[in-house]
Amino acid sequence: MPANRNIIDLSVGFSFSDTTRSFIKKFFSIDVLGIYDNRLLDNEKDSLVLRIQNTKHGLITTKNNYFYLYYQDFQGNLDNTYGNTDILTIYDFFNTKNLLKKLAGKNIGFEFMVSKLRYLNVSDLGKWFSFVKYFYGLCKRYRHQLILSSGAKNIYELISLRVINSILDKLEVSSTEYWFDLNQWLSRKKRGLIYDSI
Amino acid sequence: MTLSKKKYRYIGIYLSSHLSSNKAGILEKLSNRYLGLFGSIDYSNANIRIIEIKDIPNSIVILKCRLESLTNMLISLSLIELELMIVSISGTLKQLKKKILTFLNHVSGYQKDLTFNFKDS
Repeated sequence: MPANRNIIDLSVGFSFSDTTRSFIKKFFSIDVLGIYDNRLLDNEKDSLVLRIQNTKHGLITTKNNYFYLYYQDFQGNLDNTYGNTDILTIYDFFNTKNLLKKLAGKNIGFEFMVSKLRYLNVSDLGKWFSFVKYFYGLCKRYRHQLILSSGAKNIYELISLRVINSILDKLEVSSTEYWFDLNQWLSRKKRGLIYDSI
Repeated sequence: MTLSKKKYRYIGIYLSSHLSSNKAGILEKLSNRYLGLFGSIDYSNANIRIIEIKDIPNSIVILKCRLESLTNMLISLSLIELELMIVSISGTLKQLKKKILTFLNHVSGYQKDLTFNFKDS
């Protein structure tokens, strides 16, 4: 296992301070956090990834010196998907094969939020596991990245490394391979930082 | 015939304030999720129990399950609609208690600086 491997949760949907970030690292073993709002954070920008919603109206950025990724919620077809999107967040099942084939080579991260699974009934959960298992195979074939994020809206919805690895185990995905690939994918996405004068 | 000793794991869980008074309700919800996801045979093999020990605050519940069922148990715990947090997992109650106390000390020591409030998340 590579020594420099980071454990990554690319979607944490609540604001937190540096103390809370240390808490998350200590008790959830998460090294890198994807955030939507960076108002309360000052230090250790290396362990943070700013998520910026990709819209056709242009990008709105408010903070500087952050590594950033453009994300979009996937709407079921490619008509509203913009070229520079890094992460497509998937909420529904859809005809995956054609989509992933069309996007082959773009190295997109397809993200699934674990917090949404809490509200599914068991039969939909079973379908989800089956869908993501199939999806992972397609990601491998067409060189995309599967991303499991907590999608946490509060501290109780965060998931620890141990839980993510358990879910990966059920998806028949090697956790070593998953973390290695995700780290590689993220480092390839480091296109630069935002520097603005605000 | 050789008898192999069954191995167990203890899971320390932190509960939000409105859950801590209803530990049996948590076990029921967890059991329903486990049963739905992994089936009744797996559930019966898991041997899930609530462990009562002294000197642990009401906000903590300790569950015990078979080692082979730990993955299923963690998935079930994470996929229920309850405000809880898995604090630590250990093979012995002594180690678990130690980890829980570290967690509680950390939370009480830094409560001012933590952005979230455990009681009203």
